[in-house]
Amino acid sequence: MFFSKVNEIEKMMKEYTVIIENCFTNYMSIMTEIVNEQNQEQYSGFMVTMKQLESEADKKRHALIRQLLEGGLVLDSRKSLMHVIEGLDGVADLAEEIVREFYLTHMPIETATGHGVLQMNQVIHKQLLHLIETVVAVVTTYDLESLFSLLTTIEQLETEVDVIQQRAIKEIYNQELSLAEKMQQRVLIDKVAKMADDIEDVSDLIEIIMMTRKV
Amino acid sequence: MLNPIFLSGALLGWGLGANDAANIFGTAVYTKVISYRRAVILIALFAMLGAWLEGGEGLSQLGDYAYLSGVTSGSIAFFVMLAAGVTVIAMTMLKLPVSTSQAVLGAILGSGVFYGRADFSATTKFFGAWVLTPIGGGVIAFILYYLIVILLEKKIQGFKFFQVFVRLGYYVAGIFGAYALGANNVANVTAIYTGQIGLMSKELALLIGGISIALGALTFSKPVMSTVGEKIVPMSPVSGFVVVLAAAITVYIYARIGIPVSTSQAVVGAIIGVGFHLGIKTINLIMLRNIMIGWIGTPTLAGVISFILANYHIV
Repeated sequence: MFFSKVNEIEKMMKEYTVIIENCFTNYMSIMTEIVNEQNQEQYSGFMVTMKQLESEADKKRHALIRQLLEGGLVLDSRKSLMHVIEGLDGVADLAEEIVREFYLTHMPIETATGHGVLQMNQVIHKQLLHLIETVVAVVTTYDLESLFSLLTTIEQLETEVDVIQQRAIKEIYNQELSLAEKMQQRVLIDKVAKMADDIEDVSDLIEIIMMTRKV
Repeated sequence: MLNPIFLSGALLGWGLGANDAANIFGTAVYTKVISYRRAVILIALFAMLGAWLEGGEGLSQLGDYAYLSGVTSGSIAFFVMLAAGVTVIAMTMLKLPVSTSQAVLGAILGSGVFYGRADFSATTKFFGAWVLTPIGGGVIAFILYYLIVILLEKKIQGFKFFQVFVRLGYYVAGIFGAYALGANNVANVTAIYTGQIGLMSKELALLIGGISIALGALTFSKPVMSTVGEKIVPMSPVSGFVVVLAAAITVYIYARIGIPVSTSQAVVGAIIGVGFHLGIKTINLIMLRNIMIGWIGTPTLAGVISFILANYHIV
């Protein structure tokens, strides 16, 4: 009786993180196809897939928020979880937005951009897995001090993404492309890198939760 | 059939229940730890229980004091309680914090002055209790918070257990707060009709007093609960119920001693006590100034109104 609402929130949070991870891994596969094949006929199918996954994430997010509003958690925990959920949602939204951009604009991908995007995706995936581990810990454990090294790793991975991003942009600007084409490639690289920033922002929130739980 | 002179006391009790419910469960309801419906039912039940089981000491002390101060007939009792009630309403409308205990005592004194029987020396024990109430609330909150922090750090490792612990804490604090409210404040409502004046038996006084407080909480506590709950937002998850528990313990101690005190002022003291732990500046000079105004202003205003009304009632 006492644990039912908290148990439900724990279960839903775990399900939500699975959906977010699924969304990202699908995005990664799609981006690999796009970079390697650049078959524009596939883009609408990719967009539909991403749209479905992102909608699934949204549905779960809304259900989670409704569950949080039922009570069951103290005010501080509710507030902090809300911010974490919104942060994770940002990652799914961005993944969907990137794929949709290809569907709408049919933009070509230069080799440097493609390499950079795929490399960044690999690192971001590691980041996301670490983040999901910390998010699950937030709803299962009270003392989060043991997560400190994971949170540090997430930060380090974000720095790695920055390095890849800068290298890719430099390579693009060294190529014989028009300024508009260079800008177009750069926008894509920046969007992908933003996912790493957003994941790092969520890890910062978890750091704050860790601090506030230090009674 | 009940004597209509008890109406003024019952009205005061109703107002007391409506206002003080917020001190007990306001934060818990505002932060959705407990639903409003469940909170008021718990307050009503446990306030009545507290009044019935442990309201007797306050009833005797205040009842005797009132009689010795000149409240020797039903009509005098009616107007004294009316003066206290008008004071509470006036201070509430002026948005000043008001203590029912201070209003009742002031009204008794005012009537006593009119009849030349006011005993100011006996008021020192009541005044001392008012001053010590926020101090007591602060000290108890400080100690309680420290003990709970140690318990939490050593024993509670899981997220789930922490959530349940805090929610249970709000329930325990609220239930005990309601019990202490009934035990301590029933005297304010019906003491004046009991004892040597003999208008009401002790049992009936405890029953009517408890019921009027309960009815106030059940029927009109929602607006105050929302306002107070919003203002006393907990500084940390644990502080919310520690404040209420510390205030409840303070009020209960005075219930055992037999002196009605202010729950609101005990809460203010408790907030300051917890604030010391958290390094948060919770000492608000305006709040302290208002409390001090209450110590002097409330009984004075009630005394003046009671004195004026004494000119009009039939002995």
